[in-house]
Amino acid sequence: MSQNLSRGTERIIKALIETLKPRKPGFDPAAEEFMLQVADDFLGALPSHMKILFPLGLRLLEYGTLIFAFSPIPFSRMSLSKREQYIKGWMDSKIPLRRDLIKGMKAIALTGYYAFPEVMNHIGYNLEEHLKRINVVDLNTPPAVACDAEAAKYFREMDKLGKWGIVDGLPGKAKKYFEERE
Amino acid sequence: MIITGDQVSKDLEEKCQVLIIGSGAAGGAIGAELSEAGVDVIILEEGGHYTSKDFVPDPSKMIPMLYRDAGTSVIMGSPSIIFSEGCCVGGSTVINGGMCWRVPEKILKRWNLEFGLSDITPKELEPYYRKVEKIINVAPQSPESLSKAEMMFHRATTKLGYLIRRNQRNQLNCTGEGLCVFGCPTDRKRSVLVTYVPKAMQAGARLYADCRVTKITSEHGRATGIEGQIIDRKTKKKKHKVRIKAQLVIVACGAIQTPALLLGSKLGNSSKQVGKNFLCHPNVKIVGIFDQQINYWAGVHQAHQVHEFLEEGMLFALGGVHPSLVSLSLPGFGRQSIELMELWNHMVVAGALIDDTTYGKVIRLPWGPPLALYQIDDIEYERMLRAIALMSEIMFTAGARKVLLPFFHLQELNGMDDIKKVFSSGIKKAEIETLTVHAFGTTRMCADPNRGVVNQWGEVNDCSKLFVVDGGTIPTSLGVNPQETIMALATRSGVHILENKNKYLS
Repeated sequence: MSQNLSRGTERIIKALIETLKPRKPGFDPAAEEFMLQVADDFLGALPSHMKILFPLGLRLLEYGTLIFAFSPIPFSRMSLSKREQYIKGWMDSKIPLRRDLIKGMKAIALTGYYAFPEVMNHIGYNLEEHLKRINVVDLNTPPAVACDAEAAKYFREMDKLGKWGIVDGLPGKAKKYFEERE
Repeated sequence: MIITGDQVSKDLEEKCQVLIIGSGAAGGAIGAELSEAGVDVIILEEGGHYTSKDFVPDPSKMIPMLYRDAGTSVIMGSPSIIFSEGCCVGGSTVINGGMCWRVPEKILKRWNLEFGLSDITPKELEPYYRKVEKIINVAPQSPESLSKAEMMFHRATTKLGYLIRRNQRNQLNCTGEGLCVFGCPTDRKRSVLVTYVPKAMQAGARLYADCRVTKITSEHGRATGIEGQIIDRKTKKKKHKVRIKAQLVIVACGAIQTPALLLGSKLGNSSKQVGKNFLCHPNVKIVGIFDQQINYWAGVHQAHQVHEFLEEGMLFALGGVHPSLVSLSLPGFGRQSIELMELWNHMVVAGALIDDTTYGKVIRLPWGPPLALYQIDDIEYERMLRAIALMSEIMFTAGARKVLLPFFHLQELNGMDDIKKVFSSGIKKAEIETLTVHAFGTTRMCADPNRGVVNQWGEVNDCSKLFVVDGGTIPTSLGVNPQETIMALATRSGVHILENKNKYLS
């Protein structure tokens, strides 16, 4: 149940989420409720002027179909394929304001989607596993496990060769710096 | 003692010697400096107080919690620039990448030549920098904390003969969790939240979180305190009134909020410079796509910086962020988005910080908040294109098969030979996607009171007992990350106040 979205705003955001939601045959997780919750949380955290401007922007998207798609049907009542076409028109618009507006709306929709556990798992973002592997308990203990063994080995060797320092050389002297050490 | 909004049950009236507005890089540093010398200090912070126990790797929770305006702040122009800053105890230091660089010497020469700041020399700043570096534990990263992407980046830039430097970061035994921008969950990033704020609290300072200042009060050209509100953290609505009287008021709200507060309080603007001279280090980023799996997020981000082009106004680094944030800058939606993001572990994101060559301004909207305006000029535009071309060169040298660009029309390059398209495709300024996390200049220091807002110590020229110590006092673009310089200058102002107690604290 949305806490910060009016019924009208919620209807438009739901349509927007359905249109923008990344999915393909064989992968379409049920993330809609989560995405709506994230949009609701974001709207609640906006400053007062944005709380007015953001729903206004959504209304422009909703009723802009009349001007930008020559259709009397508002965005949220269009078919999915028509909505996709309409959104593409906003993204490819020559008017920067339209592009910026849809970028903001895309941000509200996609931030939730790619933070959804099933999606993170699908794209291979296994942060929990990474954290479990590298974490040390005590703040004063240096890291014992390398984030990437090959990288750690490379930088240790560079360090031994004196090629991995906080160089005091000025910019533009890079060549000299590397030549001196080779 | 930290008091949060929900602990305040009635209107608040307080008194102190020094009142500091803002608890970020500047407010935290000067707060600790003064309170440890026995000064009675109150620090006010508009955002909430959170600790590492509250930090989770979920942008949908952390951005509304830790970022001003839930990360939706925009600098208006063509293109508009997305601006991110922290709004929580510890300020932007809680959510930044933790880069620590001293101000380049050539910049200090400019400060002397153009603004008469002859006392601010490398020698003069040395002890302040050293003190800051000790407190926030500035150190290079260990090899263990680095990702494969950093290795590829280092190899490629070395092969190209470009100067690459190990980044100095405020960290202690960083394990490379790559979660800096959502608040470090293990306190290994030594932000103001876990360094200066505890120091100030231990020395007896009081910090009010969830407290928004609406006006600096004054009498006969002398700051006397503030009026403000305790706000409800969830609704951001006013809960209680706040009035605090102080012998000295220090503003440290950052280069965008501070001018709005000064203008609203009708203070400090006899030079008409408040809010002018706004600089913001616009950033552009690209995404390299590789055949091999890299997992660039598994390790600390920005462990190195390419300084080869610093004198030409460009600095490059890798940036590791959450897939949610990367997805926003990729083209398309629906199927196109998921198919691109399925390459997540094959991606490497690089960003360029562009040294400003023009000024914007910050104005105060009639109902109080600031509005930042900034128009990228031809030189910055050229730098952006060049930075994108050079970063693409590094990516292809590292083995990328494709580079995704921050342009509206030209969205990808498929090899070295394509790089020239960056210059030949007729990209317009408005078609470049930009963002920033730095802001300077809006209350700049200057020896000439007609050209600046504060003197070299941060003291406001036309109002006594009022200081500004945040990034707004920095008169030029730095070309490098500013947090350490902001902390060093604030510490210097604190020492100056303590050395002149009779003048400021009587």
